[in-house]
Amino acid sequence: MNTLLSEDQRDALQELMNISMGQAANALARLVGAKVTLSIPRIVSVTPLQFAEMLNDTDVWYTRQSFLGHIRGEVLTVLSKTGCDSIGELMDYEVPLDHDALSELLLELANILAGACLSGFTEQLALNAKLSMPTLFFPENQQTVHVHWASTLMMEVEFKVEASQFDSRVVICLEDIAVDTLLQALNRLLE
Amino acid sequence: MQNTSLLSKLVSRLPLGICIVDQSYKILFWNDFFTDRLGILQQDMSLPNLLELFPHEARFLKKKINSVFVLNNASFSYWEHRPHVFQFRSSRPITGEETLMFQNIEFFPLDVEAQQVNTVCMVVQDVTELASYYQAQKKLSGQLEQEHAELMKLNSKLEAAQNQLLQSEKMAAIGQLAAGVAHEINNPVGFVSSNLQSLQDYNTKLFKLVQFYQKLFAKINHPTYQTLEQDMLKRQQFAFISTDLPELLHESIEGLERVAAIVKNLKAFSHVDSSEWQYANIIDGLENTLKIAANQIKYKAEIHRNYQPNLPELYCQPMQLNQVFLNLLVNAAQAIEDKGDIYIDVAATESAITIAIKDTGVGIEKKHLQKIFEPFFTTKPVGTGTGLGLSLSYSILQKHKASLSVKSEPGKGSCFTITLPILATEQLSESPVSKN
Amino acid sequence: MPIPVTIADDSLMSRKAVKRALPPEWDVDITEACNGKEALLAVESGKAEVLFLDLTMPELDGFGVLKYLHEHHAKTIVIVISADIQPEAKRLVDSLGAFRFLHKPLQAEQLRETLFEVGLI
Ligand SMILES: Nc1ncnc2c1ncn2[C@@H]1O[C@H](COP(=O)(O)OP(=O)(O)OP(=O)(O)O)[C@@H](O)[C@H]1O
Ligand SMILES: [Mg+2]
Repeated sequence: MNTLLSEDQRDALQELMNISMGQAANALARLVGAKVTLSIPRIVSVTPLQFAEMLNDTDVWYTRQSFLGHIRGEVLTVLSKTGCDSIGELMDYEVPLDHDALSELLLELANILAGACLSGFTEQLALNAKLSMPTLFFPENQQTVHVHWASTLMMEVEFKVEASQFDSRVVICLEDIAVDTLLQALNRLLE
Repeated sequence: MQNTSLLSKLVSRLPLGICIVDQSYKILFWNDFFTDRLGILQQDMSLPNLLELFPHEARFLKKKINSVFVLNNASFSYWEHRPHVFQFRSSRPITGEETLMFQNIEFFPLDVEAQQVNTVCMVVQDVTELASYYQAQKKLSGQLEQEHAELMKLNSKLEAAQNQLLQSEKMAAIGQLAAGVAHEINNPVGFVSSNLQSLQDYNTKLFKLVQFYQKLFAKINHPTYQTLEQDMLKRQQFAFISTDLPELLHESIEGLERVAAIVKNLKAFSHVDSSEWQYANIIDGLENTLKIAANQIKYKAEIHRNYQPNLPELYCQPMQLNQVFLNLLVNAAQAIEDKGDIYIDVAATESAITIAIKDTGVGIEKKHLQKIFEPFFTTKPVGTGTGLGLSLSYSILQKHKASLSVKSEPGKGSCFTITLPILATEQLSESPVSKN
Repeated sequence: MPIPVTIADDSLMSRKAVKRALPPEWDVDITEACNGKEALLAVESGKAEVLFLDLTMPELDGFGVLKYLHEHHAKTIVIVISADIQPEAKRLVDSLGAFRFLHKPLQAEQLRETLFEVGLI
């Protein structure tokens, strides 16, 4: 339910995302030496079903990593299958990428984006959260029936690297209790 | 004081490698994990430069560490991609198969001042055990997968074989039934036919007799009796009967002849050993089959034959080939919605006989073309088609080393072409029969 | 007399952040704008001797505002405060005559330094 957030809280969250994503985009841009464009962040609360639908795309790779600290949750990074080679080339990988090199590249990209997004975000809120190492994620092997949550707050933004076909989405998903912590921190910021 | 010494003891005993470097990759600190494995005594040596110490992976280390300095963000290295960044000996030198240590490494900014990273820490985790377990599992699952694939292949073969068996059983049963029925019908047809012959005979005689009496009567020339006779003839419809009776008899005899022909065909079709290999004429087979299928075809399509004369006889299983022709002809007729044509072309070269059966029916959709030879694929309503016709035909033709191809244009019609190679007998006979 | 200052940002929080970062002793008359058009209106009606400008805004974005000002109101002192901190954005902003390119989240000391450099405080 998006009514979960007041208008001011939504505005603040959106702006925080904007800023941290800007930092992530800058990190990526520096790494690949090419301009990165950003979408407007999307903030929604989703049910397990909606979440599972998001994981239905066969044209992308998924990675996941969890974070722990004042707030907890998982960051999913969704990376397009197209354009991986050209990104790899920008990042000094040997192309065409073989299986191992591709996984390494995907995990590195995911880690940079997720790391920058999350740290930018938590720093501004004076919270801390430490990211674990990312792993590739194959949702088709996953059974959605076993989830332990009813809804999660999801913050999503899309990165596109100009000069290659590559694009990627970072999705930060918060655990239920973390949402409360987040709201408190937001309110502090808004006082 | 107490605490720092505890802490340093802990760090030296940790089952993790810890190494801290500055911007020039100079090592500022490392724990025993490194020194033990390098065979250096901690206090022995001034701290070296990381890249010089590990020239092997210097390029990779440099890239990783740089990215942490620049981005102020942790970075990881996985054993799956880079198993031995630090070339340490395996942690299981005696019992393990591995010679080098598998490791996961985390690189993270340790000391950060105003967004500026001053030092980077590496934490190395020995995951040899995990890696070799994982690899063993992977090998195992690879084997399983392979076995599974083989089983699946076997399974589908079995299924195909079973279908074939089922179908040939079905055909055999129908054959036996037909043979039985044919036999049963043959007897009554026989005596009815001979009785009819006699009836026809008697009938002619009786008419002769009546004509004789009529002539005799005319000679008597008695008006009263003649009126009486005319009345009687009229009332008994003699004039009509005398023309109709021979016709009835004639029709009945003809009908019975047709019954006899059908019975004969049935017998031919359900030849006792339908899989017998012998020399046979393809045209005869086609014609026999056409007779069998006449009822399903004649209201739907006109048959146009184009047979090359003087075809060689072919060593084959004629009854099985008839089965194929029947399937194709019935399919062709069923594809025709109202009225249409079926063209049968037979031609031979030195090495093969080709039989093309072309119809002007509804045709086959492109997406179905791949599937029509699969057992149980049918587009016909339940009860009409079993979807076995083509798959059975296909397997029969395989035994003849023949091919079956199809061309179709939806809305226009289809053409099925059989190419039967003319082979020597030994090339065709199946696996040698054991002499017991 | 207070200096007319306009803060243009579509986010309420960011406008608040700018207001909070302004030195308390600085005598200003603040106008807020939620998009580029409103920002230009403020400039046209003399309410923006100094303009704090965000880049991503609806209706008309920061680059559009800069372009217009560059051509018509070169006197306005523009300080860009942006979430897009890629070198490309900075280059463009510089070429359009902005005075400074500050990164979000805004640091109060940095803003103060900037104001000092311009000679506003
Ligand atoms: N001459 C044809 N024209 C159009 N479609 C055809 C033709 N021959 C076969 N087909 C298509 O191929 C399918 C499979 O044919 P097949 O002979 O194997 O089974 P069937 O005719 O449906 O059933 P069965 O032969 O067991 O009674 C048919 O259902 C039909 O869709
Ligand atoms: Mg059929």
